[in-house]
Amino acid sequence: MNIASCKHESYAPLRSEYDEELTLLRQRDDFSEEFEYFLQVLAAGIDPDEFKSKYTKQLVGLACVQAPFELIDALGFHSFRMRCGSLSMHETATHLPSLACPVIKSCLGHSCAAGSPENSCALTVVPTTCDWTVKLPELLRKAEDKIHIMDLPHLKQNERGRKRWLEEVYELKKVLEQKSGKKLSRRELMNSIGKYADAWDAWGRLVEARRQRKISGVWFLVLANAFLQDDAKSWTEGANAVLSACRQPVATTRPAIFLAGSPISFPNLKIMRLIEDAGMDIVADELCTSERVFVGAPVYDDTSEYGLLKSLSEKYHLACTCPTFADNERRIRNVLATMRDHNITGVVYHVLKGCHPYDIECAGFEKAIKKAGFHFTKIETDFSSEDEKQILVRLEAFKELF
Amino acid sequence: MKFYQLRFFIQSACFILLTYGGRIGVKLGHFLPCFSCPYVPGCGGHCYLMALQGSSWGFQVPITMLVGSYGLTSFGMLVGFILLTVLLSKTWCGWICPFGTLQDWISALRRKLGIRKSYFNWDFMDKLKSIKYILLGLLILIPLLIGNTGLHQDLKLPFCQLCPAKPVMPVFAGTLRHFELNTTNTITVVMGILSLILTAFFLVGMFFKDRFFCIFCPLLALISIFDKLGMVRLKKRVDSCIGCGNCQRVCPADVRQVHNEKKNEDVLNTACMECFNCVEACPQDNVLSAKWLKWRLFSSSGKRVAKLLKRK
Repeated sequence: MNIASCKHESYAPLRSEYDEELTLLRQRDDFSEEFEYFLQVLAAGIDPDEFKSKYTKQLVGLACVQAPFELIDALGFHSFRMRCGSLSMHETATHLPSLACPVIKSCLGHSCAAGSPENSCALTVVPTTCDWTVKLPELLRKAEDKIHIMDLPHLKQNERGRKRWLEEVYELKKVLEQKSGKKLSRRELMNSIGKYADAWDAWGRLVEARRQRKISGVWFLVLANAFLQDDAKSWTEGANAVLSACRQPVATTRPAIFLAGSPISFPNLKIMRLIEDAGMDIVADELCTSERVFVGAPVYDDTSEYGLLKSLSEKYHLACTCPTFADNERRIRNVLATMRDHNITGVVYHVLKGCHPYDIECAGFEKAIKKAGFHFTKIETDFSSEDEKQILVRLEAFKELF
Repeated sequence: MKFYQLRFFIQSACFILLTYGGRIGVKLGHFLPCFSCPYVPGCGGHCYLMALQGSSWGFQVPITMLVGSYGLTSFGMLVGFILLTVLLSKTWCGWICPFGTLQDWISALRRKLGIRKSYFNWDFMDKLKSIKYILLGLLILIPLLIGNTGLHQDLKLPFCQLCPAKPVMPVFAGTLRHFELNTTNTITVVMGILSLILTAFFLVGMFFKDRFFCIFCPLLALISIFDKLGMVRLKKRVDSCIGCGNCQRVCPADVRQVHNEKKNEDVLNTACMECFNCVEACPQDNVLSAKWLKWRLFSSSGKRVAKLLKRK
């Protein structure tokens, strides 16, 4: 099995999938022109030439969110999260086991599409998070100098794990320096950290707006997905425009929901839409394609290169609550604290078939949520639309609990 | 005013007050819980460690005297020290101590130059931190031996003789005389040479490691005994902590417990100096808070962190 067996003839199915989702988003009651910028960012992915003309720097594709954006930016590259939400691209990876994670299948589909940003980036960075991601470099079969694997330590709380991850960040720096032909400058890295701090500031205000239901969960996810594709500065300007035009909080009786579990990516917003259709608002989540993309900020007191990279490595390692970590007890604590702080009384736990880490943590998660007196439901699905009606019925029944 | 500016301002004001205050009549006594060095001519108050080791209020007397009126006076001095300690806890170290402030200025210079600071292994750091308790024991034991067993008088004030603040702090009052060797006898020469070696060692250490001297400070060990009574507290909303590690990384004392704690909201550690850098660096709103009794002094804030990073 390798990328060569991936069948991908044209972008037509992807285009229709994108168009369909973009149309649905533009038709929403809460659509406003400030969101159009982010839809354009996401739409740029359909046309490889448009993507490359929009982002003229050398591209670095990221398989997960653990590689420091700031470091990549400081060395003059444009980083983007390899797209992984398309059903049509997912279906091109026919050589993978039927129960393989759809995120990986889709990512692989994008990567084998001729001329796609994923296929033509200067470097693909793969942090070894889940088992599927670990196998991704092998499946991608890229030239050795086009792929870089970051060995992610699955223990965060001990000294060994932290030192090892810092070594990995240093290794990434070395590889990027070789690619770019320039040395990392402390000043440029500090500027990049400052630029991303601007974005993080806007991000925090967006989260707050979402908690107050000034912005819906769907739009937050769209903005978060766009952040993973876009330049931080442009994204921040767009996000600030959205914040300025935010609607006032509306009095509502719709239950506030916390969405936990496997990642959801554009153009497959099925679960988000079904939860809304069932009459609930997603006011918080922990998805690595949404709120958890941008957790914390790398404050540093050591201004040396080592100190700056240490602050980045710790931010991207310690603050990550991906269930692939062995010491991950903060995940459920954080979720419960968010729920208590914002009067959220129910959790929808989304599991993509084949996404084992989230599935494994689900039982303990459910127990803790119910023990705290909150409602819980688990939805196991994939990218297809076949089970939509069945899920909607379950979600409507879940809503009746509130 | 931003947090770091406020701290810099208060530290500088305290440095001036405690280094030069005596010249304008400020006399804050002999029981201050900070390194306001008595060897600084015209200082505004004295570090309690000198009183503790001495023969006026301290342990350098026959044990029998400690139970008489001398003992009462010494106890009064101790009570004064405890009251001040309880009132402001370890903000004495993080905000008031002139020697601590000097170390922060040296660290700021290193940061300005972009020179990497030293990082110690966790186990090694834990071992180093325990040395201050040994020093505290010795600075009580040696005066007791002088007062009771005839140990040589020239070993009096043993800690002060070796403390790097003794030669360094008087420089700010225009005197270098404590860098000179006292050649009276072998003991004074040996102690003088040791003092110079230790001073050089600590000055270099302070440049590469934040608050390097404080790792070994016996006064911090003494203040820590009263941690539970201290009115200034460091609180954490443990469930909301995302565990990003900022608090641990910016801590000049390499305290790990603030980051690690998942149960108790009180996270004041014995090595903590209540500089509250951790509160300033915490990116989660209200997860870390500095309080005086039940009143909140200030809390962590995402907005503050964003501004901090933009400033840099």
